[in-house]
Amino acid sequence: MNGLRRILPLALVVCGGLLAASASAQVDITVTRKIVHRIPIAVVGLRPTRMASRGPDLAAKTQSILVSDLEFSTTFEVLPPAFLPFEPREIRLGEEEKVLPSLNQLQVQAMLAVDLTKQGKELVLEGRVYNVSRGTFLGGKRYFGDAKALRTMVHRLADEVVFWLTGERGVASTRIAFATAERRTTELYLMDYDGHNAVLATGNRSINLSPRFSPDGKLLAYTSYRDGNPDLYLLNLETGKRKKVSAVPGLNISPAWSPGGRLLALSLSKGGGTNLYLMRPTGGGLRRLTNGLGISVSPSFSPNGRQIAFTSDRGGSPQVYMVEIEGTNLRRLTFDGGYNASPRWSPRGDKIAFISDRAGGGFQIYLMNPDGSGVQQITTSGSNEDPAWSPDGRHLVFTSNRSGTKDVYVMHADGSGQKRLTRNALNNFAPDWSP
Amino acid sequence: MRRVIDVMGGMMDRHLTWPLLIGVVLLSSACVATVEDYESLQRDVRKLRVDVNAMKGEGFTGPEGVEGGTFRGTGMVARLEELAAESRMLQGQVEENNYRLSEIGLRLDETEIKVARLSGEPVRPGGTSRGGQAPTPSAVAPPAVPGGPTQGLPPGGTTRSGVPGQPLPPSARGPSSVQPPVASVPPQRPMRGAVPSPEKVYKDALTDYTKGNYDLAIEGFKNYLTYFPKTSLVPNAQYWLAESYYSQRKYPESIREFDKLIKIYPRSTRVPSAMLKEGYAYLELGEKSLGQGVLRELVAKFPRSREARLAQDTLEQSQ
Repeated sequence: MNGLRRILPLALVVCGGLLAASASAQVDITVTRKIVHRIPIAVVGLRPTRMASRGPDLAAKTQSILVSDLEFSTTFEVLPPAFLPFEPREIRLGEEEKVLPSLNQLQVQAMLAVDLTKQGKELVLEGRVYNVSRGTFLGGKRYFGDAKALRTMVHRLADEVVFWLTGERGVASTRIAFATAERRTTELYLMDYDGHNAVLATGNRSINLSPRFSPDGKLLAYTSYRDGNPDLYLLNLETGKRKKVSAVPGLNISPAWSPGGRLLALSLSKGGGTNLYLMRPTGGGLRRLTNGLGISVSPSFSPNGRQIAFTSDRGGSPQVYMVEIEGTNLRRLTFDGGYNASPRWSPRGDKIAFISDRAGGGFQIYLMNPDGSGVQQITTSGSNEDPAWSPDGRHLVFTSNRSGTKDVYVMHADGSGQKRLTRNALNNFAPDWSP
Repeated sequence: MRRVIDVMGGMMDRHLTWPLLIGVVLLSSACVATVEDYESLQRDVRKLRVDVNAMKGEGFTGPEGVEGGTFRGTGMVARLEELAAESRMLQGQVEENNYRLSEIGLRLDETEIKVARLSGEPVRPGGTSRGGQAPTPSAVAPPAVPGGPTQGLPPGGTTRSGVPGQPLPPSARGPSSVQPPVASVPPQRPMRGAVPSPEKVYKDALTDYTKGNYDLAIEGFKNYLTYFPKTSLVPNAQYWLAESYYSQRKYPESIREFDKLIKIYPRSTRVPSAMLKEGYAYLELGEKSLGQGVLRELVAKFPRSREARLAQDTLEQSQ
């Protein structure tokens, strides 16, 4: 989006009443905890705004996106307008401080005042955040863009609000890559984290699988059959340029980026068996990690980049294993159920998501500690696969067949708030969440 | 995984179509040949089909033999496949048995602490009463915590890394994320009440390691080794302590700690990995002969391990 300007200095204030802790590493939130303390926040402003006299009320749309973003963050509880002693949408920007005392009486902890105005063909979105109990202004931002960019503008404002009040980055501006199968082709798409704005990423009328965002979000690694053999490609998401980085005869599949982006792990069917290898994303530097005639796939790096969780049938059935990047200390993590697969390490480092058939009737998503202990089931409806973490480790995206077709869903890391994102009557699967 | 298997299945089908195609070509050429030739070819085709079906039935997946135009050795390949599958099953059973054993060990640790608490016995640093498997605490635990293993733990107090709340030396403290230690506790006071379980202390340290908070992880594992030196996770904690130093490229410290694991717990499953990394650490320090010595010892002691293969590769490269 062009013309994004910061009009006020970022004022990150640590508010004792609002925050459990500041942005430092002192914050240690257990993502699987059922009871999550949410910050009560009032959203005021957003008087009706239309591009044309009979056009839709874009302020109402803004309100809807904003509330959805803030609620999904698991950080906020947005108060319903009826709860407030005034009509929140009537509050003009510049007058919002008047309502702080009445919000304080209701023990509301934060207020977001928003305004959407039309300037020629452009929209201007402005948001200001307050600590209600102290009556202090925390920060504000103004965004410019056309009506098509409204969703992006609102997502960015939501992420700023999360940052001002928690010190953590929100996920509202992130994207999700996924595969869609249609007749004989499987193409990769990108969409906003809430399922809107899906755009085609590949479009080669072939089979494209396993999209994985690079840690800087600029590249998408994936496997494609466009030249007949399942080869590994990198797609530059800024330029649209595609580069083939691994094309050994046979399988070049299931890529995973190291946290720093300096290594790619992948599976190659080379010299008998399908084994894990490490390589440089620029090509070359190929190093074998596992041996044997079995199949080892689905690598996922630990946040420190030193270990890789993966799926292997080296013990007779598919199970989750761990190996260090030197190829040392290989060990098995899962022991219950005949099929445990698709491990994905949380960016917070404390959990590994995986799928298992141990409950019977298809696959479910589970979490475990990095040593294989503390297994907990977080899905129950339908068969659920392909878990992938949001960059803040608070949410998971996954595939479920509960609606009849395979579709991409999101949920919070404790399994609550499950929401369907794709609704195109096709099979949508293999999602990955951008940084 | 299923997709992989599907793809491999597709490859298998492609290979299996070759003999059938050859058969069709031979059949068409037989039209201009004699009846005897025709019958002979028919027999050959029948034989080919039988072989192909036999291969399908035996789960033949490799291209060997088919691409070479001969089926000699097909039975052998199938038998090898069978043996490989059996080997994988056995490997799985060994993994599961080891897991059950380690689970039993963990449960014993927890039970002994609970029993000690219920019977009103103070739980002293030094861990549970179960002995015999581990060496003396002083041999295992680095003397990094002031007060040493004779000092009691405060009730309930833990730092972020799950470490029993002892004042830590400045050098051992992590970044600002470590909460200040709780109020000082009289020496010799026994630990009662909400004592962190060895498992929790270990897991918190392991999580710090996986997050890359190596200083905190080192602090956590050192305290685990100090306070629970007779629990079943001690060899693992010793390994992760060494590995945390290794990840920080603190090679002398990592060599010291890997060496403790190798010497004190020679039967730990992590010894081959520890030897390999000790060898690597020496090589990183430019100590070529020492590094090669450790790698050669690894190859000699654990010739069938993955780590021995990696050591062999390194030795060949560094010759």
